[in-house]
Amino acid sequence: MNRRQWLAAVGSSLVCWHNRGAALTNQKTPKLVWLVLRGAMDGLHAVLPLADSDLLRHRDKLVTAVQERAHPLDRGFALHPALPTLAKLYRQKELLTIVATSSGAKTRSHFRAQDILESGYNRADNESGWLNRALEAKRGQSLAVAHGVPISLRGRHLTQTWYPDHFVESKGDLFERLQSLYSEDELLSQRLMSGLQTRDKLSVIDQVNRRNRFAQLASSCGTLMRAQGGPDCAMLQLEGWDTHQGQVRRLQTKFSELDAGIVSLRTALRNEWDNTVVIVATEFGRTVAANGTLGTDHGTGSALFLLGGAVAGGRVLGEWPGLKKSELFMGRDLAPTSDNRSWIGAVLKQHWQLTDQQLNNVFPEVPPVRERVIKSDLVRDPTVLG
Amino acid sequence: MSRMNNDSEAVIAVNRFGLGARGSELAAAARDPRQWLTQQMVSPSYGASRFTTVAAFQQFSEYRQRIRDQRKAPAQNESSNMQDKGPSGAGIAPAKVIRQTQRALIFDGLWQSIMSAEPFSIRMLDFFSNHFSVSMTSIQLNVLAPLLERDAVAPHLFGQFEDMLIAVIKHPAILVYLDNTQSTGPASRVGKKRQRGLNENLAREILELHTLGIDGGYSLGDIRELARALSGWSISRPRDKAQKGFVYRRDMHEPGARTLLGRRYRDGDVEQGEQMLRDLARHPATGRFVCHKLAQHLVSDMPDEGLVDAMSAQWQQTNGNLGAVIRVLIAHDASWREERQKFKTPREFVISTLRALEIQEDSPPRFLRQLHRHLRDMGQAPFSSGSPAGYPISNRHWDGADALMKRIDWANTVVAVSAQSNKSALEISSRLFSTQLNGATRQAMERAETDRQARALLFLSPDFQRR
Repeated sequence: MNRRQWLAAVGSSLVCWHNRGAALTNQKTPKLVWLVLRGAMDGLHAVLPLADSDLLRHRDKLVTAVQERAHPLDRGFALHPALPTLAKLYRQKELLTIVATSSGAKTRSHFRAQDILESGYNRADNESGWLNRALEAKRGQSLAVAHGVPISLRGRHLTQTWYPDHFVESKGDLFERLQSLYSEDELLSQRLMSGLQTRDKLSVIDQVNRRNRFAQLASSCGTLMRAQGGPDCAMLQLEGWDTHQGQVRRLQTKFSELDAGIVSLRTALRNEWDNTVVIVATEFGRTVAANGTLGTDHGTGSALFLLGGAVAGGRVLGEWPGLKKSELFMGRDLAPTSDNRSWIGAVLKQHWQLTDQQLNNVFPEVPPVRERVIKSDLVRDPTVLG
Repeated sequence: MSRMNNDSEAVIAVNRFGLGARGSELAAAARDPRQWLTQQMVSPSYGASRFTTVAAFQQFSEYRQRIRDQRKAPAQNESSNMQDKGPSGAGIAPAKVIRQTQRALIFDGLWQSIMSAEPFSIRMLDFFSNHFSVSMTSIQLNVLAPLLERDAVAPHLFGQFEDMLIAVIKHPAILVYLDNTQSTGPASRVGKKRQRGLNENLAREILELHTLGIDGGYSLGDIRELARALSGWSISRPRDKAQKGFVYRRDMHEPGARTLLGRRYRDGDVEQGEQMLRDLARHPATGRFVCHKLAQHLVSDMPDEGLVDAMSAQWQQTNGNLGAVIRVLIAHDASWREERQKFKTPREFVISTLRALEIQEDSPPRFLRQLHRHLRDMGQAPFSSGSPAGYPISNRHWDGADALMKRIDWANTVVAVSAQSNKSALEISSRLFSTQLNGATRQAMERAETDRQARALLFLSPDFQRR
């Protein structure tokens, strides 16, 4: 008996991801992926406001390096050249770009602002994440592609974590022996089965890629989510956006990495993609003007992406505040005109059917926007849009 | 007490309160398990490897100077072959010096846990180091975080909690991590001149995490009053030649009398904040909060109420003498129940495994570098919880499926590379559990294909993973 057969034999009676919702209705659960870009992505470099005549005045060297190859969007905006997949999704109406958003953080400290972004409260609570509170209401399963549980998923709802490591995967009959050894220890026995099933899902389809490059993490994430009874929601993170210098080169790399990650997530999700919303957010934006080392410093407004088969995309949303000196926040930053949380709230309302009361628990005092962000055929309750 | 009882208590002493047996610890504990614990109540010492906070500040100064020099002389060596360009991109070589210091401090801490002859004292150090958690989130904190543990926590492990609290709050690591270095009283000289203000972060975390606890009955007003009292608690600047480390800046300190938890504190410099911290440390709510958490750390996620009551009462009687409180815990029957209620954290798991394997001196530094990476893979790298609340204490944060798979892979690898240990799996198990090993575990080990597999099964058994 090899491990696969053994798993099939022993594992059939055990469910890895207990899915109360699905068990009751047998309905496909709408998937959500929460992707945090850590280090403050320059929204103005991702979504270039080329129609704004003041743009070049602030950062001509940053703009001229990329504007000719940028992918045009509506309202005079364009996507960075290294984001071809996002551009394609936009044309297929599966990407919403929201400009001039903020996390609600009034600080320029990365960590503090990330804590706020993840906790969803104006004053960060490191033990309660917005996604955890949303999952409590939704009663779904979640996975953090991380070593430990990130703040977004901390709280009463219990999340799974998975992250590739540097260990040599155990082989042979050790697992069978352990299962027998754990027969009187219910928790360890259940954990071992669950762990073996996760590993199996990954190895069957992807031949588990142990490298932790973002595209591979995203692929593994999609594979796990797609699997029978897989999690409804997952969190990914991508670091390295703090571009104080050499921004043109560094963001070229980062955007390529992001774009490749979206490709592999989509590929791995297969049909589930149609049922998925990916939220891509960062803790704050960067200064409108380039600094002395061809980079940008910590700012305020940035951009938010909602993408996936379930997204009512193909639009650039968010009021544009303008880039005239007088229009800038504190004379230096892109002034935020909306709060990330109001858009995420709309996703939770339309995609997961959270009630206003539940939403108020997820994001107190930040009501969801009334804009349609999820395709109407996926909005099961027609009243949610009011 | 009968010999039989001593045997089972010794197993508990070594595994629940220690870090698993190294060598013949179990035999030593069997003579008098409780006394075996109390005689370990001494602060860990850092003999030859001693690296001080003052020395760290010296390194920071050199680091900044090198960066300034590099900026003055524009980069001729653009194509430098050094790999590491930090986020700021500046200062390549000086950053390396600091990283070496950081590594040395981390590795030294791990090594000390593996080799310690006072494992109970290490468990206490781990607890309070995590209680005052500082994460390595900047080049400065990479070095300061381990120094907080050494300089401020370790010396007071079994002394008065107030001394530990004051030493910690005055340590540059916590002042930097919790943003107090620029906190300025609005009515202070600097505050009036430059329109600067308070940063309440440190005060808030002291009340919420370090002393009273979130339900400890304080108000927003109390946070502000404590923040005002701590304004001016700062660190030396590179140009401060006389002092390195903690600096009290009177011109940033909010003048005037303060009221905290209904008690009035007269106008005073650094003593005003110190007196507040002393009173907070002695407060019954603090005693209850810390004792409960300590019992959770050592005994059970849901500790016996009688045990916590007894510890808290001792706290009040002794104004928070940690040694006295610990003696109460050791003497209490609820601490010695047979049931293993705690699931080892990754750190406890790997350290106790390596102690059982009697890893020897010739192992570092490559071994320690790997160990550090493995702890990171398991989600418990030293000084990296990412939260001032530290790593979670409860089982559920560590007993997940992915966590177990990582332990299996790690244990399976480590038993292969530790062939140097000439003890058989059964010998190791008897040094850990005497005759108390679970029948199923013994059977699994006896039936194993190889002794190597038997060792893996031992370390992965419920007997070893639960304590």
